[in-house]
Amino acid sequence: MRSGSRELLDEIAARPEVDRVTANHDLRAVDFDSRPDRRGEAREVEPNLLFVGAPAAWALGATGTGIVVAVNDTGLDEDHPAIASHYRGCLDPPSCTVKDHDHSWWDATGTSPLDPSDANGHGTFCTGVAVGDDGGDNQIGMAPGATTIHCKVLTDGGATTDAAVFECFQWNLAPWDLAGGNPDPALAPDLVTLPWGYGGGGHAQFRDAIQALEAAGIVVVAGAGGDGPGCGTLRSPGDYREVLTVGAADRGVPYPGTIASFSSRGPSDLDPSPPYDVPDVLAPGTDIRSSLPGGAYQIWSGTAAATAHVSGLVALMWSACPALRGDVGLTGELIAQSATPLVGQPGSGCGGDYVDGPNNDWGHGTIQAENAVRLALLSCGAVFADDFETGNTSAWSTAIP
Amino acid sequence: MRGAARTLVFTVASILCAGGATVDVGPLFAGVGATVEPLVLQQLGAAGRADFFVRFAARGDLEPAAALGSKEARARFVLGELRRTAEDS
Repeated sequence: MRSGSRELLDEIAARPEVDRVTANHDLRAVDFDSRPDRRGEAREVEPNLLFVGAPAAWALGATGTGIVVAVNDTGLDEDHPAIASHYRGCLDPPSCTVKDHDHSWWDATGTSPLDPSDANGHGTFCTGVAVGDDGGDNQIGMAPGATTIHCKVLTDGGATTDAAVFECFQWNLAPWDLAGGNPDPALAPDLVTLPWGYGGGGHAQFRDAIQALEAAGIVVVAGAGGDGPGCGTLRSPGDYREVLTVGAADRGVPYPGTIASFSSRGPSDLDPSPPYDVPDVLAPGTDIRSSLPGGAYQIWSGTAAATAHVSGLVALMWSACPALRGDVGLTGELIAQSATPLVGQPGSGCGGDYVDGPNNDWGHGTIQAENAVRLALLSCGAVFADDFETGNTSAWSTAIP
Repeated sequence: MRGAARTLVFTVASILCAGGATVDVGPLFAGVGATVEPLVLQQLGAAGRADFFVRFAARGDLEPAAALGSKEARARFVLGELRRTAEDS
């Protein structure tokens, strides 16, 4: 209800079919640590992708082809060389001289209703981590075969409201055209990326909407937040049971790394029965090189970057096993099962199992893309020539899907 | 045209609010019927008017979507069920 009066509120609240009335909260959702690009030239496959075994997953034939990733963020520079041909609104890749933004772009902030834009950079950066690849030396994304659509939910200053968040979730379920018409569930994405969160957690107002998306077979991936290392520092909706919550791994030591000090920790008290451990997994979240508006690249750190890795991972798995597409529950289980526990790392001691996981510091561990894709292939009935099923990891590089 | 688009969007907003499990947004004031978040009352007290969300008690049954074969069929079912629930509320 826009600009409602007290009298109207009283009338609505007295009606038996109404459960509750909540405010349209304001939010400053984005904060991140950034610094300039470390070099003038590109470096083939970025080390964060090597860290989680992405090239080995690509070698299994899984690049994200046919999978649509929605990024609800600050927007997009759709002309960035690493992104242009991945944006669904580009009709003639790789040149992208012909575009159609209907059903592929929506601006819930009203900043740029007709064309994608991103004066902040956060959305362009996270999109790069998920799918970015310029066809040359800048291989910055997990799922270079996937395509993207975008809902601008955050202003260029990184702020939003509940209304904008709801609006983007609706658009995710049935993307409409630039005029707000012709909502079409056939054009819904396979997954939604939320690289931001409401600080302090406990904001449960989006659970209904996210449950609806997941009932439609759409995975929702959310960042844990950058308010660690204290316990109970998750942001919303990263503290929801329903979403796939991603914390940040620090690559300062060999795989699986350590949990980044800033990465928010559980537990979540939103839904205590039964209790659940969160985050679900970690992904690289420190010193990540990705795309910025204007054809630039820069290095940022944060759980937003980690979140985009997992979005790309879902795309890899579903392109490897189309039968898994839309199975939100099993996909999450396979990602957890294929992650590597950070054995011996107690984190902040926020609770849970610190041997096998999960726990409220590093969840099930750091994602491993090759293993996740192999589990996806197995769920599709693939047979491997090596001993993958029995855990003989020395032979995992030779697969026969 | 733009205004019309926004109107449509917010109609659908109510639809999405109608599905799923219990929402809890901080301490809530128990009124005669629905509970009202105190922030809404504060905003009304300060400005006389406020934006707020109305959450219906009825819930759509989204579980059958899981048995549908295609992603499009699932999304179409969920959208239809949420719309039906909102219209019936």
